[in-house]
Amino acid sequence: MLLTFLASLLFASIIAGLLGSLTGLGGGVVLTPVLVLFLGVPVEYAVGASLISTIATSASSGSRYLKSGLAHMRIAIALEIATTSGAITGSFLEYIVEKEHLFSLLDVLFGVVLIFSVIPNFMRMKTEVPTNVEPDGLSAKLKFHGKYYDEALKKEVNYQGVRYPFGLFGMYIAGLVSGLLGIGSGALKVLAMDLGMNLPFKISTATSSFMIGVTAATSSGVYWALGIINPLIVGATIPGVFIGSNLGSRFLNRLMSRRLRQIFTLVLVVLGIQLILRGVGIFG
Amino acid sequence: MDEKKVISTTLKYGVLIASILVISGLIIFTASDPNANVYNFNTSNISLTDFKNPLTITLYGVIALISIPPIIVLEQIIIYASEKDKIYIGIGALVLSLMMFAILIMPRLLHI
Repeated sequence: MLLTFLASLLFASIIAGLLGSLTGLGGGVVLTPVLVLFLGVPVEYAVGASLISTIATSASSGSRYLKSGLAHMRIAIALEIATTSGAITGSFLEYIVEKEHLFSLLDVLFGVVLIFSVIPNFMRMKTEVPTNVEPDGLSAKLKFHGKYYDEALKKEVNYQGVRYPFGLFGMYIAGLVSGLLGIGSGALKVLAMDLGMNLPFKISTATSSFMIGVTAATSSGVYWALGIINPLIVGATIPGVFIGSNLGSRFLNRLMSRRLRQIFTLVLVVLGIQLILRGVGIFG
Repeated sequence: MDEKKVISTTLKYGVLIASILVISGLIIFTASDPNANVYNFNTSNISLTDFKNPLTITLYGVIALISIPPIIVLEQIIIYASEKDKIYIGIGALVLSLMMFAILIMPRLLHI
């Protein structure tokens, strides 16, 4: 009986990791709706499992991005001031949700955030890299510059991050959402760096996936004390999401066209709508 | 000191150690109690000193996983200290203090 449940958890987590990787949203944001809607896991345990699994995926992708030189360590830690402060606020809000049993609200919020996170996948993202960006005072002092070799453009790209306060604001919101919903909120982090700080998309994605672990670990203390981390569920979801996202990034991402990615993204919109309906008591 | 090498090694081995603990605890538990109810166990009702329960091993794996990010921030502080980069030593120390506050002190303040 237990074994059957664990096997279905593992399978669901592999699918979540795969979908998270193919859509670029990360495993956590897909894991929670899959566990809640298809396996009947209470939303608080799903959120707890997602938070912990997010740390594992961030650590493994972070290690890869560091080797490739795409993650900018100084930009990451400078912005982590805001993500960790946001995570403290977010996990405090999660504490209130638990204390007041506002689980339906959690369903609705999660659905809304899921639907909003897919927006970048339908926007025409700029493919060219920002050039001739002049550093402002703060970003020059904080050394927000770097270079990388762009495989698609076949040349070395020099970049310069700007508008640090704007980045901090976006990261605070990303941290808050992460702490409240147990997700990495990679989409928000990428938006803050890409649009806010004018960094190339590849640098934003790599640096963000590196920062996600720090944000998620910050919320884990409150989650642990609340008792929403279930060792049996986590034991199946950590390896599951890990396998799924690795399969996705190593083998399938190369085969993905923009159209195909959007089709997968639509699946997430449907999951988001289902969660909202569940939250307001219409479904499930 | 090659910061990228130090940090990516920590990440790699951290995840490896955590996964081994998490999975082995789960396997031993499932083998010893195949009919257990999943929802009877969570971090607020399993003691970390209860070594008779295999899920304690899983929880130590989770702790190992949670420890990776603070260790990396600490490594970054050490690296910036060796580079005498005062601004980043300060930033790193602030991030580490925020994390330690959230992980160790905040749950006590909330009386959970």
